[in-house]
Amino acid sequence: MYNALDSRALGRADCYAQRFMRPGDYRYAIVPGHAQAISSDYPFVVHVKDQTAERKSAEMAQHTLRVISDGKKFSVAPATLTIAVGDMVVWNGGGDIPFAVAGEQDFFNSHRMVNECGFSHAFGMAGDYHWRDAFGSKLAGVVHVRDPDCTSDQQRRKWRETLAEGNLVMIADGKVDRTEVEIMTGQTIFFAIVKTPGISITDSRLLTHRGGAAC
Amino acid sequence: MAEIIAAVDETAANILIDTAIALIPPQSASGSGNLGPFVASYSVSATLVNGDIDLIAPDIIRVANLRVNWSANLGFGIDLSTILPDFCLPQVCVHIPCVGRVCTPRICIDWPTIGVNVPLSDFVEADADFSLAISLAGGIWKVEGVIVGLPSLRFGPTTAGLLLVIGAAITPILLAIPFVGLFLALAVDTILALIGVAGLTGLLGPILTPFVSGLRIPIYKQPQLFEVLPLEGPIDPAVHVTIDAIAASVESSDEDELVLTADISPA
Amino acid sequence: MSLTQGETVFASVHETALNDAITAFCTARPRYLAYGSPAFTPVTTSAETRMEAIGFPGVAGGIQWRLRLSIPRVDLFKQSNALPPELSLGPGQFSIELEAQLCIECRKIRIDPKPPRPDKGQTHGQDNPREPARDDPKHPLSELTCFRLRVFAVGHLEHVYTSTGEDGIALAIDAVEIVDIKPDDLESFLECLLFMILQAVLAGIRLPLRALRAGAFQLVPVVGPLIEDDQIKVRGIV
Repeated sequence: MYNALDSRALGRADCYAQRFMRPGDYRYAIVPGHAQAISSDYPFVVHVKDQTAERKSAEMAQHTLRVISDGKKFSVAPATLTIAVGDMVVWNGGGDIPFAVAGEQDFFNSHRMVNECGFSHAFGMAGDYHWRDAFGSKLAGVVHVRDPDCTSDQQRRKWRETLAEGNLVMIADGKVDRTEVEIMTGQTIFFAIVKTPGISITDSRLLTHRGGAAC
Repeated sequence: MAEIIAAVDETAANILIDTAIALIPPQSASGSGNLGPFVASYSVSATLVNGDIDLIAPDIIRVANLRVNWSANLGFGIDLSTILPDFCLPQVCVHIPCVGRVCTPRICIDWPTIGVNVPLSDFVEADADFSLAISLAGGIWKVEGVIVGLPSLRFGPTTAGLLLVIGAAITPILLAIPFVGLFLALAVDTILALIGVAGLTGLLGPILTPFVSGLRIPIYKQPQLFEVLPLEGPIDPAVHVTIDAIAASVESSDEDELVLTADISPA
Repeated sequence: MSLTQGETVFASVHETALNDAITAFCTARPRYLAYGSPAFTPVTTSAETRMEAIGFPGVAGGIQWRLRLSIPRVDLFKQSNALPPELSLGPGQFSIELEAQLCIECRKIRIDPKPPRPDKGQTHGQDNPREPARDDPKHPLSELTCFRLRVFAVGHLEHVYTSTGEDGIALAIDAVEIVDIKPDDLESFLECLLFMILQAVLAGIRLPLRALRAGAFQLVPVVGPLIEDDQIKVRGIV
């Protein structure tokens, strides 16, 4: 199962979240994760409609789309999702082949996250994960993942409860609010990107010695 | 009376058969079979070591504790979804300031099928009776010990240790699977329990048995046109006699002896 | 009682098989039974062995001779074949019977009328030292003077090494008897001549023990080879 820490290529235990702040039709494709998010065809649509007066005072709504792969191509259902301005769409799924969400507009792209978006990753193996931006900014951090002590049923149950506890890392104004985070194996970190020129959250070990800056 | 008689007692027979068996080249086999509930591909190679010889009239060579040293490469796939319990990451929610609550969906992990390759080696022993078979084919006289019946292989006390070897081979493969680490001990224990010593002997027994049951102990092999002296220059050609008949038996008197007789005539 | 007794390996060859082996040897290498001086045997081949002529002053080229022996028939103790009364076969012995044919080239020598020169040992029997020795053509047997004898002998086995370095046996002659030659001194002379010849000939017929057990097993001799019960027996270890 693909479980590398790399927002450019989303695995089974990853999510990409994008918030849409303006009405319109946002076309996108689901492409293989290591293909630089290039696509010439955008078969799916997020249709963002104006908020109604009633809706404006409500909290942001989240819409979750499951990405399905038949081994040859990816799909989501519904192909056209209608949401309100300010809502968030979360993509997750895929299977064994990592994927990326490639929108027609630059801001709408999991390969290079720009603003009002996020990336979550559940860590499947213990270790120290030094991450940085594959596109060359100075943004970086480390996640320490430790195996829990699960020698007894009680410890196992306690560990399972911690899996539901989320960990948030905010990235804004060129800064990471928590550069060092410690979690247990199986827990999830949500990287919330407020506004950046376009970054990735990538395990340093996946990047070449030249810095691994992508196109 | 036979023209030529040659005989060895059990002491000499042990030495000669030790040598004869040691000269048998390694035998090998490959294929697939059941390793407990798993289907394993295998390639096995084995060499034989002589046991203790007992000559029994009229024509039996009994070998006790004939040893088969074997080494094998087993390859098998394990669908971990049949071994491990279903595991799902629960929904994880965070509160993003100025944005609101964002949640990941419940994510269920699909356990993969892993491929395991394990090199193993050990030995089995068997007691076997060989009867004397004489043949003349292609101008060559042969006397061989040919096994009687199907031997029963005895796996040694070290066989159980082979399961630990399998466990040690599986562990690093499992460790490379995300989220499995916490189920590692369970996975290994379950897999080894499913295979069990019975699974191992059940796979290896039918593979190794033909190595013994197909064994022919070479006792005598000479061309019918037997060279007494070789060519020794242009004026001294080789000298040959014809071996007209060969017989073999075990004779019992004050000791048991393996006796070969031959009749010859000038070539 | 077991065959191997106090050892671990036993091998025996009956006199029938021994005679087969000797026949095979003599058939493949007849030169061991056929000898001749240059007039009869110009060069050694597998069929016959070239020997020197008997040198004699005044006989050009020397006295030419030829010997043919038949394939010997061996009888191992206990005695099966008849022997002349002068010979007896004892335990551990063998007897041999064969035929010997000895031929000589008998020719007239031409007397040289010139005064003979002092023999300085350089003429090598030539009539005229200035003339080269004549290469006489081979004479047909009918021009030869030959006699044929039946020869009996007794002897014992010797443990030897063959030309290939293996353990083997050779037949060593102890006594020879020719029947009814007169005068007795001539009989003694010929018996001595054949005694010398047979010792040498049979010493060259070396049979490997490996062959005498048809290549069965391995055997390093410890006891024997010895003759008993019409067989040659050897006992030893692997």
